[in-house]
Amino acid sequence: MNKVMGNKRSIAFFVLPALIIYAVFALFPIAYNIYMSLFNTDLMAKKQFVGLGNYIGLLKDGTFVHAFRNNIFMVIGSLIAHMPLAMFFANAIFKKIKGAAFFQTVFFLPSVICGVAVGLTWTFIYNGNYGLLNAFLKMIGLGSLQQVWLANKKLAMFCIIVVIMWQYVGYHMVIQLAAMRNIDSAYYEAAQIDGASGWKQFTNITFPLIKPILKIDAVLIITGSLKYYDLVAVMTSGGPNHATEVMSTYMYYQAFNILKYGYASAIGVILMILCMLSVALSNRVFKESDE
Amino acid sequence: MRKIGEMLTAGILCTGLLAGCGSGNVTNTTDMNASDAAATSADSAVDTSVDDSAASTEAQVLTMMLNGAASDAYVEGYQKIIDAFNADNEYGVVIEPEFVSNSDYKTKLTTMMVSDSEPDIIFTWELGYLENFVNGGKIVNLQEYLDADADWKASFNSGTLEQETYGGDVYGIPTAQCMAVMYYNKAIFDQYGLAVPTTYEEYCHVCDTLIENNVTPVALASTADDAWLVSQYIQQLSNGIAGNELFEGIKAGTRVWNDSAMIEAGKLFQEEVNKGYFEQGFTGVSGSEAEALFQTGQTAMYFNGSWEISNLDNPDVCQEAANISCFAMPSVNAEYDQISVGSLDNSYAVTTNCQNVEAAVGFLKFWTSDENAAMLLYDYGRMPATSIELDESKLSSLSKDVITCFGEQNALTPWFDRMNTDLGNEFNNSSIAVANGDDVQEIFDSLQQYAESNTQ
Amino acid sequence: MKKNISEKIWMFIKYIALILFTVMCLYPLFWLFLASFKTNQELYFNTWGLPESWSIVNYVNAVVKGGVVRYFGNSVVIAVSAVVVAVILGTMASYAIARMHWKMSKLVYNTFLLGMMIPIYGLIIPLFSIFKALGLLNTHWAVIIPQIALGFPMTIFIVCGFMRSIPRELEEAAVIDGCSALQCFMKVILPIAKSSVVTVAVVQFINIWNDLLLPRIFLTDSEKMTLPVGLTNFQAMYSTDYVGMIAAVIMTIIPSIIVYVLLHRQIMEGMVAGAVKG
Repeated sequence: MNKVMGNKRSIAFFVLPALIIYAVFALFPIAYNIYMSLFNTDLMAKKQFVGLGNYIGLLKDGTFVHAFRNNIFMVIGSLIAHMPLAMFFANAIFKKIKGAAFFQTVFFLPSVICGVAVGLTWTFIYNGNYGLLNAFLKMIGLGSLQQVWLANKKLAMFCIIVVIMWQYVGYHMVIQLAAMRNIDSAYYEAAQIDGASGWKQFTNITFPLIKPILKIDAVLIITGSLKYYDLVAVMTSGGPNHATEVMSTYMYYQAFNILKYGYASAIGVILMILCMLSVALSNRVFKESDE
Repeated sequence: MRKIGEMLTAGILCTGLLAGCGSGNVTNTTDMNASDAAATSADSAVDTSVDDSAASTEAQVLTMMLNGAASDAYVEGYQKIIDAFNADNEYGVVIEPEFVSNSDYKTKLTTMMVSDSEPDIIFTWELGYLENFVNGGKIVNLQEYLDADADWKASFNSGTLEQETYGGDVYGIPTAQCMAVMYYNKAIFDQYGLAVPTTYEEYCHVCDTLIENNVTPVALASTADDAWLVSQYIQQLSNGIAGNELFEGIKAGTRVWNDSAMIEAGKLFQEEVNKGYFEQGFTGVSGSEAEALFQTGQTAMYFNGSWEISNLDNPDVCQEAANISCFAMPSVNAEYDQISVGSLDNSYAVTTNCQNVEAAVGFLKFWTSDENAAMLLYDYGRMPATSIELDESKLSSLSKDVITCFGEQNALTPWFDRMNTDLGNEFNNSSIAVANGDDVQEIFDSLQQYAESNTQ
Repeated sequence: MKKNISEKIWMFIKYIALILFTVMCLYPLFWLFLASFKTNQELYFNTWGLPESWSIVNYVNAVVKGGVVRYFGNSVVIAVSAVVVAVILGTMASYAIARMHWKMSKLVYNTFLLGMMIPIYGLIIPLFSIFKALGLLNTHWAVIIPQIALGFPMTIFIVCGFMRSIPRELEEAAVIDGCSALQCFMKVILPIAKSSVVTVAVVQFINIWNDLLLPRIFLTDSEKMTLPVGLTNFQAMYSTDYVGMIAAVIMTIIPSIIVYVLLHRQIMEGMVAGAVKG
């Protein structure tokens, strides 16, 4: 067995093609970025070694700190909004109701659509003058709450998180649903005989058994939220006045609009470290269900 | 194949690095890339020209990147110029244009510049934007070419070449000029017996009268992408309060962003907002939406650049086309009248990648020739940066009005985001905060703080 | 009996929530579809109503001026070739990591996962230099290769997770029968892991299909552009042709929807399997 499965040449045959491509086109750029983050450079004539100067500058940069906070807000917001909602829908569909396949297909649909289209549509929904949201509020008698949603610096970030939720709840639902479908139905039959309620079945059977998937899901949500770029760029470009700036939009702006490439690289490095930290953290949180 | 091998080794080297080996190899790797890159780009340049010459005679290709999208009317006019030049020129070169939409232009040019693969001729904005690339050693000094052709040099309007002059030498060639004007709807003005305002008080009177009659005075947009529309309005107010000395002072660093004139302009703008001079909810209105309001006669005025002419005098896209005229925004203090926000439009520069600067300059001369400048003006409403003989009969009435306005200006102040991309963008962001009703003093204080911390 | 009633109420709430969200998912698409027939001004002044006329002029513009058909072909070439290579090589690597015995497997696995943590925006400039050195700029390769490289982390994450859940005995039996590692992979593991592979392929197809950034930067020749880049062609320097863009958007999202609807059963299966043991 070990002779076949431990054969160095076979292993190389399977792993090397992917590893080489990955090393050249992903790892090398990462290394290059880390290196560049130590310079004050526009990648043209200016190239001045500043050590950790860029990182120190970032700590003092109010906009970056704000963007950082927005990302954390996004991570927490996505975790507490995505997961329970996705779980609610998954659990609802899982219980063999009519139209389950239909709901499942439709809910996944938004995650299939490109960011430009989603952003455009929701910009019109949030519009202050003829936006659907304001019209709806007026209809249900909450006209006093009407406003120019994306121009409100306190609400804009929240509005964007709602759209992200809209787009990806179905995606996470499908992942969780998949896990639920994989649970041995004998558990539920036994519970049925014991007369356990739907809620009891969920807390005692479903939830514990899908925990490993929730870990994966959490990792996807966290890394996704930290790297997030698309909708912010399309809907607000980080505005009004940096209110919805996130690290990736700020990094893009620094690199391509004002040519502070070293500074932008430092943002990229911080982003990567944050991702790793949060993955490690979620591994720890879900540890007991691992082994 | 050899290069691919090298790249692979480079990649693997860096993998080792990541895993915690020593550092220091990276510099070599990057240098190697650069030299390889130069070699390859030369190779590929030869390749393309060979491909092309299969059909015609041996022609050198000059690549050119322009700012334009399919929906920009003037793209057609630019293409005409390029085609005419390609059909017959003394240098035996072919210009290969690439139009890149505005939203991608900066990203793409930046990427090309820093990896040494910029096209031969590039579209650029004047002042701060081009300066970065000039300092980076990427742009050809055109001074000697201008000096060698006195007629060409003299054809540019005064104050134009200066904006692309760095260290005493000219690096960019402007092809058009522009300024922000207040477009207005003559039919609406007539209906309420309003005259074109010549003082700020009269302007307020016009707006107040319109409001009394339930007409929205001015269409304005202020989403993040259109932040410059708000900031150009505030800048215009500041011009009327303190003149172009304010702009020049901020540019030179002798005056501050939280100058009392700037604060006053911000407060005045907020006052106008509160009085209802702009459409309801304008803070969430996009640029094209604001324009649609004006085009359909739902607002009486619209503050935007002279480049909008072709969108406003064309009955196919603008219902009110026949009624539209314009005036220069009157100043708050009479002594600073006729100082508008305005600058160059569509400048081009030759990059150090260019193998045939002679031909590139020849092409720019061709572009700025009377004949082409006139064509762009008559057909696409682009005001030339060179002085040409005007044939008024070929001008649309709106173009004529804009040109009249333009001729009356005592000074122009470029948009702040052209003066300095970084600070100008922050100014745009600050303007949005002003539009949203935040404390003006605080906003400009923090802008000044930002400016100080970002200039060594 | 009491329980039955509360169960019914619960059921009712569930259905309301499901139907509400269905409307929320479908309505924006429906709106986009309606908007694609409007004029730019109608978009603002008749935002939520039916278009005044069902004119297909926006579609004609998108095809003629916007060159959507050509972009469509390019998108297919890029998405299909990137997905095929990324999934084949990624699945092979997953096999070695999940099933074969070697010391570095954990390290290699983690190295691959690193790729899930980097924002692609940070890689653009180094990648640009690499492609320039290789002479691949402005070719489809410049988009395909990074998509492959960045497709590995996700592929390996999901497929490895799936493969680890397959019992060892199956392979052992095959090895005793004299199978090589390659034969084990092809004949034993791959057929079982099929659904997770399909899942990964679909998710990546959708990602690549919608990607704007790489083609925008690495391709200069408009003959080689992809569909999402075509969308930005409607954004001019000072204004945007929204309805033209929406018509192009409709043409862009239809293929994604078709792929998804055709394959959603497999996606489900793959998710089930791939996610179960991570």
